Amino acid sequence: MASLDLRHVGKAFGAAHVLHDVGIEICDGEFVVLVGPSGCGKSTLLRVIAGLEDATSGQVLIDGIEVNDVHPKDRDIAMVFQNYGLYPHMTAAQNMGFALKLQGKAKDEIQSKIETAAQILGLTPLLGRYPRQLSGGQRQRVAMGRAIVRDPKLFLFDEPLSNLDAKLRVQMRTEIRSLHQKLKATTVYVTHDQIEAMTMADKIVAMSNGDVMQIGSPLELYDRPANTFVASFIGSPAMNLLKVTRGEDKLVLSSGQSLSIKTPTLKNTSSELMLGIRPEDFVLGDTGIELSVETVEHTGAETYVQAPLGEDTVTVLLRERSAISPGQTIHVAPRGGHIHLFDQVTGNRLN
Amino acid sequence: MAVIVCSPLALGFRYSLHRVFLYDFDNQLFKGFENYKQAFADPLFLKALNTTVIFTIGCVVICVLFGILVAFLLNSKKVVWRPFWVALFLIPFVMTPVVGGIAWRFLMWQQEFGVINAISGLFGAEPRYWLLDRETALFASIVSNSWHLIPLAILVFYAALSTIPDELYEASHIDGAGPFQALWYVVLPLLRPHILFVSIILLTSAFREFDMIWALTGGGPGRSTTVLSIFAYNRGIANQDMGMANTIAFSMFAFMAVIAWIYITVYRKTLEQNQ
Repeated sequence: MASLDLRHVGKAFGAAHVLHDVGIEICDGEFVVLVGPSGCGKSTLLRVIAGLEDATSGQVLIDGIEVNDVHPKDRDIAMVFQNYGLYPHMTAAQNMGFALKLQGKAKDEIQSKIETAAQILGLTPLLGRYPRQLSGGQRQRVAMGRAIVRDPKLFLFDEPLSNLDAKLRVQMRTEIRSLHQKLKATTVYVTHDQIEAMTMADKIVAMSNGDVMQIGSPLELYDRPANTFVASFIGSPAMNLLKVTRGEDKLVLSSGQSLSIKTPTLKNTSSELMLGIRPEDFVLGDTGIELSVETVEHTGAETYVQAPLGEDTVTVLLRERSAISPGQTIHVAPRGGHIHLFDQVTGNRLN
Repeated sequence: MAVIVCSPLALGFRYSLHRVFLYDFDNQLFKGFENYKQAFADPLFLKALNTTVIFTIGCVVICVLFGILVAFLLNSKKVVWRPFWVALFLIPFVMTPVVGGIAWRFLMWQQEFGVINAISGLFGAEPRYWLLDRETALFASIVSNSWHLIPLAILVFYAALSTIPDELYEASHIDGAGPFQALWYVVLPLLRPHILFVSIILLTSAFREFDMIWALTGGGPGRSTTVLSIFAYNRGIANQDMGMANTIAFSMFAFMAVIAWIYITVYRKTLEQNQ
């Protein structure tokens, strides 16, 4: 286990700059998730950490030692790939023991480490099978086993669950998390799935277009998103972002309706703001924003109500059973204090 | 299909059991397996068989080794003008063997102004009569024929290498493998079915090679490059003994059939294992 420090890391492929001045500090034993939409640079950053790509600028430090010029094989890291990266001509056991074999470890030692890892992952009966004889979930476990047996300084996961079906993904999510709690290994995990990020991470790094948008615990990102990107990316359904104009103790929506809210002291003086309200932070009432319901979706535990509002669409999440139907007019207001205000131009949080 | 394949074979086999002369096909005398007994007791036949085996193994080994090497280099991410290099390496394969043989004979192996002697001369070696020396003629024939066949190996290995996902190379680097270990433990095992496939094709091609050797040496000097196909030609055309020529040709077919069967069996197993 080790700490990882990324200082001003940049990466360019020719003229295309995919990472800009990325700075992240990861403590020993932390589970950090890099999350963002496709093309945001999260996988590239992971590959820079692994040494599979060279950083164009900045430093990558493992345990305080700069590893920019260190070959991947000498970085003492283990990586689980999106498509597992298992050698098809080797059995599960051979795949798991390959790194140790290259290190010149004794056969008995390799065998014992493979068996220990197999026990942790429930792979013991499958050790003699080839990857083609294993299901997706089993392959994923073998890939993790390959990482575990090495006892590396750093575990890197590159969207490891994206090839699994929804049910298996939830199961593996829990397994990876409990594995981390057992091994306490420093882990960097890449995903585009914000639910994975929220449920697994000690710390989330939200990325967009090669920039780090916010670093913090899952609840920090959820409760106090630093900008409209994080606000809309973290949370499902996404936060409602509505263009508003600040008035005297009220916010005027683009539809012309106004919300009586005492706006807190803000970091800027512009009157054009972006109001963020999470769908679950709306309460039904007799006053507030008037909405003409367009669609109603019942998931059993929750009800999603969608309604147009000016040029935006508002989503309201109701936890209680409701008889609301399309075409009906309802009034909703944000639960006390649960509003987020952002700068319309920069998207940065103001309150 | 069966008729097309089997008819000439059956006809050849029938002739091999008879005494038949080139200009007297109507006068055939059934000899049973007498031709085969005679052939296998003939030291010249055994010498030609030996030469063919050396020639074939030499060609297969050179083609597979250079094929993998060139394909590996072509597949490298650092290669520029890849289509140009691929096209360049394929040229020998589209050239007629006879033309290739003549080119090698007069441009490469020629004693006074041939390229080989010019290059070896740079290292201080004495010029040699490569194709006229019993010691070097077979070697020179193997090299020339390999030049003609290597593109096939390059093409197959290059295609195979491009199907190996980058993830496997990367996984091997993360696992601690250097370039040689990645090649030995990951790439070569994955190429195994393709190596076998190429070997079968090369083996059957080199074993029955005639044109290239004929253009280079005509089977000489002496009998140093007389492979079975040239031996069969000599027996059938020069000696007019078509019965014996067919015996040799059918024996070649039998050898190849057995070897190809073994290869295909191993190939199938390897393919299953690598999937």
